[in-house]
Amino acid sequence: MKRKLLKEKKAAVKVSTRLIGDNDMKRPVYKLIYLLIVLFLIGMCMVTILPTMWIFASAFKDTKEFLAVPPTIIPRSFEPAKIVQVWKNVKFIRYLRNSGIIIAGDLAFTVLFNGMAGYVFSKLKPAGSKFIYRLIFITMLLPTSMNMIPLYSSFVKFPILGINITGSFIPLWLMSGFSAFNIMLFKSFFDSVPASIVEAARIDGSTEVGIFLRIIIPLSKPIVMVVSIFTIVAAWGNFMWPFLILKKETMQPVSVMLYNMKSQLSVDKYMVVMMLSVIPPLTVFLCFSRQIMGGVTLGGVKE
Amino acid sequence: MRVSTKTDKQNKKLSAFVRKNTVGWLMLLPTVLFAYLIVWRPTVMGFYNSLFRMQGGTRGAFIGLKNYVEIITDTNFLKVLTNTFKYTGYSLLIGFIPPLLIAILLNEARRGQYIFRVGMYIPVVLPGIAVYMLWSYMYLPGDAGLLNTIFGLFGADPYVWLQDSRFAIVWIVVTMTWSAMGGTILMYFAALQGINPDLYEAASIDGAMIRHKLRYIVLPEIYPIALLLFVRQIIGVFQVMEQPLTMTGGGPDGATESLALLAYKYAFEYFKFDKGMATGVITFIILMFMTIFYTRLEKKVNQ
Repeated sequence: MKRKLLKEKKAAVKVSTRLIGDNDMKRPVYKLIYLLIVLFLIGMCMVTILPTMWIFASAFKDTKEFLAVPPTIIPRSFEPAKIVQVWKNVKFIRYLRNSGIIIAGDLAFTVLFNGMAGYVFSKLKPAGSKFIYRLIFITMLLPTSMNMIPLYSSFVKFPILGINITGSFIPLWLMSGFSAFNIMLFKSFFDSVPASIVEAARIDGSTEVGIFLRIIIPLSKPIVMVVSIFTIVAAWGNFMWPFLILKKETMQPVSVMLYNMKSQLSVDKYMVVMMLSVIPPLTVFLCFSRQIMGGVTLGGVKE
Repeated sequence: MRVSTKTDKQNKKLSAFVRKNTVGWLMLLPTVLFAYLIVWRPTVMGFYNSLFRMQGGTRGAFIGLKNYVEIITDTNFLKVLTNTFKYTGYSLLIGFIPPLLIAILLNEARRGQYIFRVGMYIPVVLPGIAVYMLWSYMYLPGDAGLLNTIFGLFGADPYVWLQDSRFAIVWIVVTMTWSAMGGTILMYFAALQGINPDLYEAASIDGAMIRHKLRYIVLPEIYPIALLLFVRQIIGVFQVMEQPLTMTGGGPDGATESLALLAYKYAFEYFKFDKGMATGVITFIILMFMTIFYTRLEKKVNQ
């Protein structure tokens, strides 16, 4: 009953943020306009979905149909065996594993270090940390194009240690250890965790790191989820840095393989590789669409 | 007895102080190190090293602004600079207003808003490299390209798309817009949903037309986020690199080469890190000037 009331209230609110009000909708002109709007939206979705679907359609076509000129838009043939064959030929599992290792490290670094920084800025606030917070905020406004080359050369010759860490996954992980955006997301979420909980844990004798790991993180599942999902999708799609850093084929992730294979595979087989590379992020998105789309707007409001 | 409680209290205060500051700074240390390593140091190094002749990653002789002079007097530079402005201009033309419009129309939909949003967001989660490769297949010239096949159904002649040096940038911008628009739409949509419904109600009572509501409610409310996205888009597109690198390699005949791609090529194709860094600094300075000019203009308009 209460839920129903709430729903009705919500619906009433939603109606009134429209340009075409309920009263307008009774007139045929507005009905026509509304129909056109819906058709336009369907059209827009077609524009975004159809090219993606085309990858799948092409991947399942047999080679003969694929090479037909002009290409068929709706596939006539269906050849799933080709997918298994390509999977084995390109050793897809190897790239999948590399992507997995990169994602796992990125996730750990992102949640641990950005989360911890968010906790410090939100709950501990040591003297002088405001200054650091401001410096971090400024980095969001800096153009990144200037950073790439000096950052690369500092990976070739790591400061102080003087060792070359390109050719390993470490640079990628290090880079996800700092994200001004994630730090701010974490901070603003932790701000909503009552200080009394933290205080109680301190009296019980927990260390600050313990409080962060055992109390704050479990209490902040929604934001941890959002940041994690975004990290996974971003790490899967990250191309430039793995491409620059990982020159050994046995260490490259799926994104780099996708780029390299373009000149090595025939077009129809390439489509299979492309399909394999879009399935994981698509699956993640369809499972967590609410979190992902909520997270996007979170970012918009935050800044 | 009394004395001991006092020292106890003092001890407690001291330990709270130590905890807040020492532990706080210790927990913040990784973030400070990461920020230093990944953002601050490379930014400063980029400026500094661009004044030297570099042998790979190591600094050689100080040469002042010679790198800059050599880059700017290069016959190719003016073209690259104009290209970069073209990218920015076209992306504002193609990619700035449409998401706003789509979001406004999406806000009108009475059913299926969620499905529309999911559909429009799909390209954003695909790995960038997959999107660029997908579109370079769609842009294939001759009968083999998907777009030529589709437009051929309506009787259009095959077109060369990315190989047309006059418009190749436009087609790359279309790809960029396709892959990023979903996020922008969601941000506008959230802003639209956040408008106070009372405004609409009051407007309706006053007998306001749709265009009035659009002019006096929607636009002023959406203005701040539109501004933010406008600046963000300029900064983002001005540094475009991955798309031309993977789709055209900067061709045909340098027609799609951008400043960031030029920096990449200096560093990773000709192994002149000094020049790559200097090109990055040039990009940085232009962006800074544009931002300053823009904020000035913004202030004037507001007055």
